[in-house]
Amino acid sequence: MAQTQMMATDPVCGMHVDPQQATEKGLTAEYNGETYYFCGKGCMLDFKENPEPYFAPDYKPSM
Amino acid sequence: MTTATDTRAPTTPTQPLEIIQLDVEGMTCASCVNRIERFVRKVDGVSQVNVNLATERATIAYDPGLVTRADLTGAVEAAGYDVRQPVAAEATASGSDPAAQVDAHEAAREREVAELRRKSFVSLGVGVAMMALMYLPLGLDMRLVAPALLIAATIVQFWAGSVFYRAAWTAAVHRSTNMNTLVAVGTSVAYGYSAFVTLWPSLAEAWGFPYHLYYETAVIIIALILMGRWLEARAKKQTAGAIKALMGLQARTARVIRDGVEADVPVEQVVVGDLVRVRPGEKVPVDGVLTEGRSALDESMLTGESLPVEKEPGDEVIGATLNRTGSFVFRATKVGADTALAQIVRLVEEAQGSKAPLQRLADQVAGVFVPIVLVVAALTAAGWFVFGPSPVFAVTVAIAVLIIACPCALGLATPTAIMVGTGKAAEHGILIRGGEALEQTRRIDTVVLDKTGTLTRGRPEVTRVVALGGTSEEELLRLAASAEVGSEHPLGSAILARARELRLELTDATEFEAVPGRGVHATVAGSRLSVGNRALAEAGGVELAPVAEVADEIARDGATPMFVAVDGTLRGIIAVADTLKAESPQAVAELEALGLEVWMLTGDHALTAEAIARRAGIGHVLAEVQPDEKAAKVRELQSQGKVVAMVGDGINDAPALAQSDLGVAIGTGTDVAMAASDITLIGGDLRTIVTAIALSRKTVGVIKQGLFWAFGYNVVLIPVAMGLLYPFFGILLNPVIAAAAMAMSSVSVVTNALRLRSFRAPESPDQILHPPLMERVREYGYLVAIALVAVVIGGAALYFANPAGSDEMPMSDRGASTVVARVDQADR
Repeated sequence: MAQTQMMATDPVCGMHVDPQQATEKGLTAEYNGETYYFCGKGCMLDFKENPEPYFAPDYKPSM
Repeated sequence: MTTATDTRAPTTPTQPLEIIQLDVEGMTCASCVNRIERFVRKVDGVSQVNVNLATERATIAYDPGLVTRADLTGAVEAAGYDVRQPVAAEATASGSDPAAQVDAHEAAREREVAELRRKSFVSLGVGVAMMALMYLPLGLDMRLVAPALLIAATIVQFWAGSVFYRAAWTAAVHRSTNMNTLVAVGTSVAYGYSAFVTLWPSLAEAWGFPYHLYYETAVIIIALILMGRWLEARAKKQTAGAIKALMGLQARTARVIRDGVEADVPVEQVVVGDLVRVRPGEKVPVDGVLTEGRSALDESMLTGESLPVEKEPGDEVIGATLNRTGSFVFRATKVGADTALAQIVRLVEEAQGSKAPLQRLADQVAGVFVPIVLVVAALTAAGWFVFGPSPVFAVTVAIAVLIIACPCALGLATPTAIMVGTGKAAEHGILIRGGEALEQTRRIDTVVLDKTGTLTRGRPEVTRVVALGGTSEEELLRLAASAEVGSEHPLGSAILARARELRLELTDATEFEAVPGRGVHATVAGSRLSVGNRALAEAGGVELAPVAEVADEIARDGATPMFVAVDGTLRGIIAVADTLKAESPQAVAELEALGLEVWMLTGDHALTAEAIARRAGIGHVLAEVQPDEKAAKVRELQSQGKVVAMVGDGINDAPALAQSDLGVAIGTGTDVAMAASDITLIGGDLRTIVTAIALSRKTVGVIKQGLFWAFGYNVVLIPVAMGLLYPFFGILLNPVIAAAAMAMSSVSVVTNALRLRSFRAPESPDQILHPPLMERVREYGYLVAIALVAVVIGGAALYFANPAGSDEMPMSDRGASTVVARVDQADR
């Protein structure tokens, strides 16, 4: 169906990501039983190294 | 932004640093930039890192004694990215790079527009000729004309229509559907069916497929949709202009002093450490520190500050700013990609690159519509297969559903509304760049207004005159203005302008002397006058204690106090400030009436900012924002879920304008701001923002209605195509009905868009909240008129489409009225 319904948000940079494409490129990470999707490697690696800061309530995506 | 901060780190090269540029692959956002910079910075011997997302390039300054290129590529790879064929280049050579890229982009876009134009015009010509052949009573035998139609239709289908196939395929790969899917499927079926009955008429007859030709349906759908795209592509040709305009600000040459010899060299050849001379009226070529001489620099293009900034040895000078009065020499500290101007270019590039593309309304609707149509067609085929007269019949109706489902006016709905909307906007002094800007406006819930030049006039004016002792206010102004006649300083000009406004008679001044950064001395009618700031007055031994309180009050209000002394005695204070535009408070009130949250953005001190915001009626203030932080502030608001429109006029606003969801430039400002924005307000009247937003909302409303009209007729005819009327009246879809739907939807879409011409700018906040009755009446009147036309055309189409002719007349007459009633209902 329409693309809008399938958009996920990259927790690191706040960009909108198509989960389908992210999965194809291997840009996903599991954390606390949830799957997160990323726009690119930088965000994914940053997240995998230390996911905690991105869940802080005052965290503001850098872009 | 990290990129901004680390290049600002003081650079004191003790030994020659080498600069390398690496082309990095795989970056998607600012986080990638941060990550690479972090990894590279960790390498010992690296002094500066600059990663540009837009150009996919890392510029690194390093000590060749400690670091090799392999170490640097290794660090980038450790961060998770690839380095494309390591090319070493001088950083200074990259200055012209973005401009070349922009040119390449522009050429590509130019080609695209030309191609769209060619394809849509050819298709439309073919389509119109086909309609004439098929519907004008020329007495032609269709079976003889059909092969010619097939050839023409084939060309249109696969040459002009190829874009739809490609885009539909891309969408299909991502398991989504959009407008292209709808067009590709609909026209392919219409074309394929017609081709089949043309090529194998006897086979079609034997199998029971009716000899229906839908060539013109397919061709006109393709023609109109391509035409819509051409109109839009033409409108937004110059989106890359911001970067080009920025690059144009840079000085082309620099007067460099090497070994005591002055020579003009191209600005690319200036290296860090060079001594550069700048004469009055020239642009500063690169960033640096002033070493000799003094001057006032107009930095308004970069900082938005309207007053020239006094510079003396030790002060920083910025490339692309304008030298006003004196000649000076500075030492270059930042060149090429490191200059403040290059930073702004980068910020604009990043902001443009990071924006999520807007999903267009038409695509949203089509995305939902296509799967439904496919399911309906499948169900229809299945239903008739089980209960119908023959399997061929089931296939025929399923094909009919797919043919009728593709609305030809779909491509027109958006561009026609946008053309009328933008034309209307231009009448009000509003330039709107393309349909995306308009569609974006409906989502805006927050407006950020830059203070200087947007809310205020952007140039100083006399706001208050405090006369002391026996002097009158007029006399004080007259004296000060007489002394300032020779001054070029904006504060002096403000006093002069005020005096002229009051028609005060000025006295000729002699022995004029300007003290840079302080004020002026002059002899007027035998008395020695000094007009200037506190420093000037104190240097002249003028007693200021009695007026300290008033002076402080003036400063708190955001104004600059100018002290006027005659023969060493203080006669009064003239307050000069950048004042609020008269229409600003009303514009703010109207924006709030539109349901928008209004913010003010300024570099001013918080107290001053709040005083001005209060006067403008603004509740939310972002104060003490550095010029290079503006885009970040906008991004911060966006990350809170707000959809932000940014209004500004300066070059330093460009990144924020590009970052915002809707950039609005004040037309009296800089070209760069206009190029980076989506909307330009030509007159500089803040109230036109309100008009722009109201009109944009109206236009988007019309686009939505247009989409409704485009789909409406076809949706109503889907049941006909499904054969729901067949058991009762023997009516199925045929070319006449399809053509009537095309004509009707196109007419509705276009006339609906033309209604925008009656748009009037709201005159008060109240009018926005309560639209006048007349407007609503007109709205309903139009709907009734369109419904009437639809009834007539629908009736006529059904009359001509009547399958058997005379003996079924009474039946089909009733059939006609039933369908007409349906059309009528759907129109409401």
